[in-house]
Amino acid sequence: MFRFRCLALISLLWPILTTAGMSSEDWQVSGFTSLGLGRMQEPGLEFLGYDNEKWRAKGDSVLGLQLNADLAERLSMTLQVVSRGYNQDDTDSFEPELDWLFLSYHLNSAWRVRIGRMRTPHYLYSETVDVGYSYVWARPPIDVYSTILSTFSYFDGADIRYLTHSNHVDIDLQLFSGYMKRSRDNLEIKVEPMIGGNISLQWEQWKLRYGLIYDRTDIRLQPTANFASNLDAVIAFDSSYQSVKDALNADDAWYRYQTLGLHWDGEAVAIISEVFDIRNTDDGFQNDAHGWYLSAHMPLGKFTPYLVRGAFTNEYNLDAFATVNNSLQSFPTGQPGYEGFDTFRLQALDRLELNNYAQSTWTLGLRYDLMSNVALKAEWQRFDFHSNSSGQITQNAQDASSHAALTTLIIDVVF
Amino acid sequence: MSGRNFSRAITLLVSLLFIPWAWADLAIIVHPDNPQQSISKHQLRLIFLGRMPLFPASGEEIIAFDLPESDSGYETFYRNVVELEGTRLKRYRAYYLFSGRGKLPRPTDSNAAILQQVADNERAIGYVDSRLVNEKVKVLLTLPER
Repeated sequence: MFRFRCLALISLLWPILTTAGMSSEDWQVSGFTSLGLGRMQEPGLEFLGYDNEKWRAKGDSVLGLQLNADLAERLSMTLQVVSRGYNQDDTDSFEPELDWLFLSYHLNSAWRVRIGRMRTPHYLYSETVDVGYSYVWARPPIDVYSTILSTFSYFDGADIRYLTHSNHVDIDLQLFSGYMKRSRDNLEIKVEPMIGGNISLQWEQWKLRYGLIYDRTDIRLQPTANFASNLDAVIAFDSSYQSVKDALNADDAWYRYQTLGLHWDGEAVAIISEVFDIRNTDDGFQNDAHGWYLSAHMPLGKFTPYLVRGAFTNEYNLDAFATVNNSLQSFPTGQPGYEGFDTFRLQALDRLELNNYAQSTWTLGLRYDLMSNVALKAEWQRFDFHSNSSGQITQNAQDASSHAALTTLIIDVVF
Repeated sequence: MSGRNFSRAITLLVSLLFIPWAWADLAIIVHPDNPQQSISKHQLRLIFLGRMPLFPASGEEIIAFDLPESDSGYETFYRNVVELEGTRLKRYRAYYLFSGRGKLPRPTDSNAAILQQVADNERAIGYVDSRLVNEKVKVLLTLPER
């Protein structure tokens, strides 16, 4: 259905594109690419496909192409296709994805409407998160630009933007609504509707941004997944496992996302800080999260060193944890004839732990602007894990470290 | 004339002789039929950052033109009017373009190209060396070089 709607949108645009009689000056083609290398310092941990075995290149590598076309007076179209080496959802590596495809129309000097597919404007850099050249870091700080939101990176719908200027303050208001549907880790995720807005105030070197989004989210284990069918069998055997099933599904639950960002772009030092809070109204899938970061960078000619401190917490359903842990205590693993049940319980615990974690990070890096459209970056990032978890890092070994470090080298290009 | 003042005068003379472009004022130009009669520095900043899409006087969509980055007028304009330069400007432009907010000013290869574009298009606006302005364009504002 999702792809069908995209095709429907393109087919709606096609007659406009083919009959507009545009000259080459009405088209602007541009693009961006990043090639990254990364390696974890500790064995048994993985992040963005990076591990300790060797330097790997897919985690931050991306290629994007964008087309801007003036269709008529005040009417334009933007199309952006992005191919990523590493995807958080079930998209294959380097499979091109349509991230932007919208029509934009200026009603007057202050109001503009867009309809089509757009990036979800969660944070300051959500709309250019793949365009490494547009920010100083190797990637936006993961304590806020966390992996859990990557699945919600774009939506199909409409927005309206109001832009005005008063006493040298630029006021930028955006209201939007739409829907999205994607799949990840055997989960089917549907958001309908997504309703939100944000306001930015910019004066001199300051920018202050507040965002609020409400969305009704349906998250379900795909019925075809082995784990889901095993879960139903276990519930028939032990009804207390219903809480585990509840914890892995969100039944049209309303989520509230709040974000606050501050950017001071001084000539000697620049400060960027963002904080977010996610609340879920569903008692079963208690996927509440909050995080923050504070970043400082210092432009020194072509060099820009930076330092970032941040933290992130994601809280899952504690009742479900208790169910599995109580079961493991009262009926320890290793009983003859119950090997399948043991495997299932450990899988359930892994799935719950995967989404119940806390971490803090330190990031130290250097950006070097090699050419007018090329930047090189070297970054070292340390993760400290809390709540007996491994944060946003995937743990592949039983006895992994309480901390991790990731080294990243990236070249970013825009063209 | 003291020795120091004489030295300064010689330096100024040499500068004028060998790098005259470094002292050129910038003229903000539009098509003669554009009803816009003046423009402020703040409005220019908004236009070239993509934050003002339409001419205030006519409501017509703006097409802004840039000098090439290698031209000293480009750096002068962005430093003095837009108040961004170097890597900060480049990062902002990448952010703006790929965030779906709009289009960047169109690049050209010379002052002459901007003069031609503005003379041909009522929706165009650009900045050029003020000494090159001709009767085919209208000057909205002249910006001292410094």
